[in-house]
Amino acid sequence: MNRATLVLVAVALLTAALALLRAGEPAPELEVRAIPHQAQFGRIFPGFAVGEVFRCAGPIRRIDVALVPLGGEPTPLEFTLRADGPDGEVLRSARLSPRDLPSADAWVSISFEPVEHASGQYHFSLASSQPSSHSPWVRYRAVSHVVRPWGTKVLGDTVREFELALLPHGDLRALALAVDGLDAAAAPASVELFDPRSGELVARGEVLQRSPQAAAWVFFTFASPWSAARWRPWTARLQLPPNARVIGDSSGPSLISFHAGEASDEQLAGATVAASVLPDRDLVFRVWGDITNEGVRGRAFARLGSRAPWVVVLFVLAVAALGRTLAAARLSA
Amino acid sequence: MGCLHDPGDPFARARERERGATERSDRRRESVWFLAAVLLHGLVYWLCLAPWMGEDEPWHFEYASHVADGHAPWGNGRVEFSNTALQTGPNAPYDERWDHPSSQLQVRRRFATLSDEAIAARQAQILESMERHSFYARVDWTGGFGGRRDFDQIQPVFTATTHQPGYYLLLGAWLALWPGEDIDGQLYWARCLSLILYVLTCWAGLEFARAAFTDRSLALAVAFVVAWLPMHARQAALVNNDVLVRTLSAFVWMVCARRLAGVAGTREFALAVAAALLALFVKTTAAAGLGVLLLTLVLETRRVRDARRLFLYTAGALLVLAGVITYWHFQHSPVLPRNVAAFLLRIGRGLSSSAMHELATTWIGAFNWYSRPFSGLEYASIGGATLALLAGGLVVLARGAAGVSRSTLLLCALGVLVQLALPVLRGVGHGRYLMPALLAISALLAAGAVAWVPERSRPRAALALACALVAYDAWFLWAGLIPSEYGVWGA
Repeated sequence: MNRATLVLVAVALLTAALALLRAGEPAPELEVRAIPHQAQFGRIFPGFAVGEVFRCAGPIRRIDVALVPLGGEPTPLEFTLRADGPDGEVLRSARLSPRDLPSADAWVSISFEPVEHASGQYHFSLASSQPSSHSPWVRYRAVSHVVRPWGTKVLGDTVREFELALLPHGDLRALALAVDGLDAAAAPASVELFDPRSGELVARGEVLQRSPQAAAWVFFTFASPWSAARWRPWTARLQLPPNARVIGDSSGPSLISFHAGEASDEQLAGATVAASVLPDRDLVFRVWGDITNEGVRGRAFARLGSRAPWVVVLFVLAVAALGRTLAAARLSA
Repeated sequence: MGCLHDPGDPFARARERERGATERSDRRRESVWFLAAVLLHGLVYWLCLAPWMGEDEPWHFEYASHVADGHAPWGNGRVEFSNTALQTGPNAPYDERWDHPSSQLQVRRRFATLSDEAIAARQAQILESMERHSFYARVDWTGGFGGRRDFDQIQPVFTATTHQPGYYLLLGAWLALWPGEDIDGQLYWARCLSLILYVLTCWAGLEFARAAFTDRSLALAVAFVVAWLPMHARQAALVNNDVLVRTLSAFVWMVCARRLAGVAGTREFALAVAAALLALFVKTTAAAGLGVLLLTLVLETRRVRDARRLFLYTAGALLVLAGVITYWHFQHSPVLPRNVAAFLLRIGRGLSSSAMHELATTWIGAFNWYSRPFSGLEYASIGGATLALLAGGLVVLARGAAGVSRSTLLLCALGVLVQLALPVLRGVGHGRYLMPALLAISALLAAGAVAWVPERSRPRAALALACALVAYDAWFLWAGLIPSEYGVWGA
């Protein structure tokens, strides 16, 4: 083997080794990756802890939750990890002090002694003794279309009726509106869609989350996906309890539509508010297991499967052939 | 010793012949090893790139698969809408887009013989394959969940069928060679064509470099850049009309370099013109090819002093361009702006720092449909080195260097500028839109790395450049592509 070939193969192998060393970092056992983050849950109210039910094989030692500040003095949060579900046995708990909370959209890590439950199903929650300063992010399991992003104005009663048009998809499953001061536990909240030509009621969405919501994207879920939503103009009418305020801008309320989609990864059972499970959405979070797990590198090779050795061999042979090209050109000396 | 240079030496001609034969043999061996390296390198990416991980691959594949099924892509499909904006309000007139996903209507417009059911069924088949191959776990902006029913639910109002049919006719004919394959099988065969086109491009790159640079170290350095630039090598494994337009453009560049070197005759140049015209029926980013041909004639005219002929060529090129733009208009190409305001808006967007940032990062390396980038440090290191080499190439152009054709290097610099203008005019900056000028960019980079050192040190400089490229490629593959596509999945 000539010198150029040796040099090139050595460089390739050394670089690949360094790269793989970096890829040896641990990988989360479970991660909800919804980037960019789109809908915040809103403030967490006393008695309405927010969490998620998930499945994970093997012990877990850390949970990261994506949190965003909503304004106001940082308030502490109580973290609880339970077996099975919201009513299960408490496995671990921790307190997040205001110092632990981020000043911008970021992960907050809660580490604890590794724990493993026989059923493999867990529930974690964040609770607050006062309306929280921070909110977790929500990933709704449907195709989203941002009609108007989170606005800066509190809109009056005049916007309780607005035109809903130019949605690019059919199968409308939910509308998320930016709302403040909504107590859906106290009074019903709904959105009704009318045909502007005939005035006929064509679809109705309700807030399934029966809890107070503030600075939140509130999800109005339709009983079944409404197929005729695509591009047509409709009139939307909001029914909100007194004191609820819609947020938006001069062109209308802040609004995200959600279409189609279906159940996500079988490891995720859904977000929870107090004792109720909302299987159509998840919090944005990740779970870390045994620190000695196979890591990103191990998973990559496992998923590459039988192709992995071929990739390695061809990679080396390609570089060697490149070196031989230099030798053939008599340039390597 | 004197007899070596003696013209009357009866053995001089024989020695000359022997030297020529040795050179040809060296060159042949060099080409064989280089193409073997290229093929092996392409195979690495062919094996690594997960199904549907090429940007916009489902749409390009969908288009070609209908051609493979025997449907002619000449347009004229019946649709009851134009490219006008949808109307809102209670008196909005009926629009067919209310009842059909836009992506499917646009397929119907392209294929007059396709039924709505067949279009929907094909999208469903592809979406099923995408879900089975964990597409949503890999591409972060999809949200991570499946259950999509049409292509609009991945990217609304998007289609490949507004592209000219050149690539899809070739790929469709290629796929028709393997009837009975399921969607996964067809995808693999489609990617085989990309692998072949990658090898052809690299071969064109080698021949281009040999014409542009008489210095063998420099010529090989150019070919190495062409073959080992990771985002280019990755194109060996993805289904996209960019791969064909790049290969055709590489052929045009090769002939232009040979023309300037005085090797290519009129017939060869006519073939390049034909390739450039053909490329216009593949993708709009090929438009720069006409400029490259014209610039070649301009640079050549300095020698032949035939300004009148040049004027005729220019007029001809403009006429062709006007004709092609008209054709694009009737093909509903989104490349053409609707009005002056939209055009100005696009230029502003194309020149914005975010567009330039995206152009640079997607040229250097970004994974999983650009949803997982390299780190800032990695971009700064690789981007900084690339810019330094480009600057070096321009210095070589200004000052000249042994073994370097300055006219070809000037053509490269101008050609890159013309190519760069296209994404700016479109207002969208993706690195792959610069691939038609890959050979020119490679020439400038290689000149910046190798040409400024004394001739005797150039083999070492070429080896150093090869080391840098191999390291870049290894990092791209093992720290970028493989961990992103296989190591980290969302739920």
